[in-house]
Amino acid sequence: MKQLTELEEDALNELFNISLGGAAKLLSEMISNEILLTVPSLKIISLEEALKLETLTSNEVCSIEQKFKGSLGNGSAFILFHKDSSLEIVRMMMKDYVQINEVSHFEKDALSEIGNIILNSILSNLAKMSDKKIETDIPEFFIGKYEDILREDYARISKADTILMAFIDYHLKGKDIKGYIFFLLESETIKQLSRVLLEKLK
Amino acid sequence: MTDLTIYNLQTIIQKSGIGILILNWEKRIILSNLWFQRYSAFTSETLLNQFFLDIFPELKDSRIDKSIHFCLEDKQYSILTHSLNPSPFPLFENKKDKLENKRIYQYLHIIPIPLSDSDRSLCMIQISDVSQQVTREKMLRDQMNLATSMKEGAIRASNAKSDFLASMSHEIRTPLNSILGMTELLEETDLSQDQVRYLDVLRNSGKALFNIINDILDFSRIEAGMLEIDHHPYSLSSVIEETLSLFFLRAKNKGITLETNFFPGISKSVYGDPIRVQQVLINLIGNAIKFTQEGKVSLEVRCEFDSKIRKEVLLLEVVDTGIGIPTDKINKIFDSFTQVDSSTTRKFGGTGLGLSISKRLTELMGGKISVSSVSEKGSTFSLRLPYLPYIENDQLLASSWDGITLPEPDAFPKLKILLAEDSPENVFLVQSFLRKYPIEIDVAENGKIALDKTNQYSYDLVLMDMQMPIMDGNETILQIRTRESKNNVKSKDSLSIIALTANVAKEDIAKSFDAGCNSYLTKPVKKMDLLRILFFYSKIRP
Amino acid sequence: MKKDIKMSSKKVLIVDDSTVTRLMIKKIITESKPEFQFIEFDTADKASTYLETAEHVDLITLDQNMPGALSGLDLAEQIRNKLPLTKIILITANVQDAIRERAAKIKIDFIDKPISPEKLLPLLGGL
Repeated sequence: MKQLTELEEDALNELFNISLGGAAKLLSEMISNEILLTVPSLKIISLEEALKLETLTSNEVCSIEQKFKGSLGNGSAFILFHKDSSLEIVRMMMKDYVQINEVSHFEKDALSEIGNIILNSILSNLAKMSDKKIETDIPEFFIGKYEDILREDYARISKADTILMAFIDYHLKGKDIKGYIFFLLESETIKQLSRVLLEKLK
Repeated sequence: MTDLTIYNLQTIIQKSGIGILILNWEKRIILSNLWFQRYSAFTSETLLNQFFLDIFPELKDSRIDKSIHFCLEDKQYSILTHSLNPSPFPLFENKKDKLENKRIYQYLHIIPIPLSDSDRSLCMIQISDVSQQVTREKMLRDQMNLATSMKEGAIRASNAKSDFLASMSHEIRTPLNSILGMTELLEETDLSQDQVRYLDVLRNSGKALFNIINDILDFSRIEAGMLEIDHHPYSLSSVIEETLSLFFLRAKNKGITLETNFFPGISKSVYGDPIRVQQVLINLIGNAIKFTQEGKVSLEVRCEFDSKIRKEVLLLEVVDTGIGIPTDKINKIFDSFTQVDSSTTRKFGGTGLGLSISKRLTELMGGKISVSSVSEKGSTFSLRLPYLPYIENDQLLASSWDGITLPEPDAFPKLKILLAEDSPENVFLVQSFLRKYPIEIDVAENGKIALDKTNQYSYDLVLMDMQMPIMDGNETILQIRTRESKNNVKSKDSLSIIALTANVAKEDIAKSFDAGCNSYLTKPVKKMDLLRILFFYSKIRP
Repeated sequence: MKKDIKMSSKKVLIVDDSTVTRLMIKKIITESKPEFQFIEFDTADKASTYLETAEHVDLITLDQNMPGALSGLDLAEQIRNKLPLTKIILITANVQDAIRERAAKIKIDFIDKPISPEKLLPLLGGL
C-alpha cells in the first residue's frame, strides 16, 4: 500500500481542516454558539492497523456513513464517535434535550444530521478542489462495537483497500470531544487527491 | 419494476404518505404530490414550473435553500431534522395553525436524482411530518424535569434535616460534656457530706439528661431514616459481660440478683452491630431492674431455629420478677412516648422512648422484639436477631484500647500531646482530667494553629476536635497526612491522631477515618477512656 | 530562512501550521511581488518569541488554530499596538462570526481558506 509524502499528508490535512471549518460554521449557526472542528492529524492505515487503534478497540461507538461514487471512485466515508461522546454531542447541540441514557431514535436522527453536514462538507470540498464530481448516498446510522462496524463497512466496499483516517476534535461550550473520520477509498484515489492540491502550488 | 407503467409510478408519488417535491437544475418545481399540496395549501397548477424561491421567498439563504443548491451542484444528499432547522417549509395542519404560523414539525431528505442523459441531476425533497413524536418528546421532557426537581427538593429537605440533627447534637453534647466531666472531677476532691449528696443528685441528673438527649437524638435520626446499622464481627460474650457490669452496683443496691445464662453451642463471636445490640440490652436490663423491687433479673442467651424463615436465630431474653405489665397496656408498650401510665413517669422517670427506639433498632438489625408479662409476677422481653456466627482466628474486640489496665499516674509514660479544641471549657476539662499524669498538653484553638504546631514541634499524639473554626478537624487531619506523605513518612512513624467528635453518626466517624485519624472518642469524653487511649497509643508508638 | 540583500525589500511573516498553506501564500505573493522576503513559523508561540526582538515587519499572515498556547488572534491582539505600521491578515478555515468580529475589533483583515490570489492580492495594496 502506497504511503503519502509528508507534504501530501499536510495538503490533505489542510483540506480536511478547511472542510471542517465550513461544517463548523453551519453547525454553529444552528445553535448560535461557537463550535470548533479541527483535524489534529490524519494518516493512511490498513484494516489490521485500524482494528488495533487503542482508543477505539472494544468500544461501543456510533457511526454515520455515507457511501459515494463518481470520479473519486467508489468508496464510503464515515464519522465515528464513542457512544458516550455521541450522547454528549447531541446534548450540547440541543438546548431542550433530555437524555434518556441510551441512543434512541431521537439521537439517531440528530447524529445522522450532524454527521451528514460534516461529511458533505468534506466530500464537496474534496470534489471542488480536485475538480471532480462525487455523488453521495443517504447517511446511514450504526451503533455497535467498533470492530464489527469497521469490518462490515470494509467488506461492503469491494474495490476500496485503503483507509484514510482523520482524528477530529469537536469543541463546543468548553467541552472537547474526540471523533474519527474514516475514508474507505481505492488506493489510487488518495494519491490523486493529494497530488491535486500540490498542483495548485506549481 | 417492469410491470409498473409511468402512470402507476406517478400515482405512487401522488398518493405517497410523505411530501414530495422535485426541482430541476434551474430550481423550478417540476413535480409536487398531493400531500405537499394539502399541507402547503397550494394547488398543483400554482406550483408547477415556478421557481422555488418565487413560491417560498422566505426560504432564501435558509438551510433548505443551501441544501438544494448543494444537491443540484454537487449531488449532495442532505437530511434536516426539525431540531436543527430554524426555517422549515410553511406547512400547516389547518387554517388556524396557519394564522398563528404554527408549522408542522418536519424531517427533510434532500436527494440528488441523477439524469440518464446529462451530467446534471434533479433535486427531490421528501418531507415527513414528525409533529406527534415532537409532542411526545416534549411531554417526556416535562415529566423528567418535574421528576428531577422533585428529587432535588427531597434531597434538599433531607440534607436540611441531617444538618439540623448534626448541629443540634454538637450544641447539646458540648455543654453536657463539661457538666459530666466536672462532676467526675468534683468526685475526686475532698467533699463534705452535704456536697457528696448534692453531687450525687447532680451526677444522676446529668446522666439522666444525657440518656434522655441520646434517646431523643437517636429517635429523630431513626425517624429521619438516617441511622445506619453496622455489620462486623464482634465478641458477643464481651458485649454481654460489659453490659451487665454496668448494672451490678445498681442491682446490688436494690437487693436483686443479676445473672446471665449463656447456653452452650453459641459462637463467642458473631456478625452485627455491637453498639446497637448493647443499646437495646441496656434499655431492657435497665427497665427490668427499674421495675423489679425484689427477686432477680437474668439475661438468657440461646439459639433458636425459626421454622418460618428456616434460619437460626439468636435469642436474648431479659427475664425479671418485677411488677409486670397490665394486659391492656402490653400491646402499646413499644409505641413511642407511651408508658404504662403517667404515674410511672413520675415514679420511675424516662422519656418513654426507650422501648420504641429498641424496637426500631432491632428491626433495623433485621430482628424482632417481643414481650410477655404477668402482672405482679414479672416480664420477659425477648430480643431475636439473625444468628451469624463468626469463626474467629484472632481476638476480636470492639476497640483495642478498651479493656487495657491503666498504670498508676507515677508509672504512666511521659507524653507530649497537642489538644486542638476551640471550646475553653473542653480544654479545661481535658487539662483537669490529666493533671495528675506526666502529660504535657499544648493547646491549639483552631485547625490552622494545630497544623502549624505539628509542623514546628513533635507530639506523641494529637487530640483533634472535629468542629473548629478556620479549619475543622477533618481538614486539619487531611493536611497533616498530606504533608506526611510528601515527606515520605512511614505509617508506623506517622502522628497518632484521635478524633474527638460530638457526632455519633456513622458517616461522620467514617469521614474522620477517611481523613486519616487513628481512632476516635465521642463526647462527652470520659476520663478513663481518654487515659486508656493515651496509654494504648503510647505503647504502640514508643 | 531566505535572506535577500536587496534594498527596500519588504519582510513578510507567515504563521500557519500547514506547510502547504505557507507555500501557497508565499507563491501567491512572490508571483506578484518577487522582491519580498519571507520568514515562516508553524506556531503563534514561536512567532511571538521572534517578534519580541524583531525589527520592523511589513506584513504578517496568521492562521487562527495552531498547536500551542496562542491562537492567531491572541498573537494579533498582542502585537497590534507594538507594531502599528505592520499589515496583519488573518487567513483561516475558522470562518465563524465570533472570529470575524474579533478580527474586525482590532482592525485586521480576514480571509477565509482556501486561499487564492483573488482573495489575497487586493489586500496587499499598500505595500
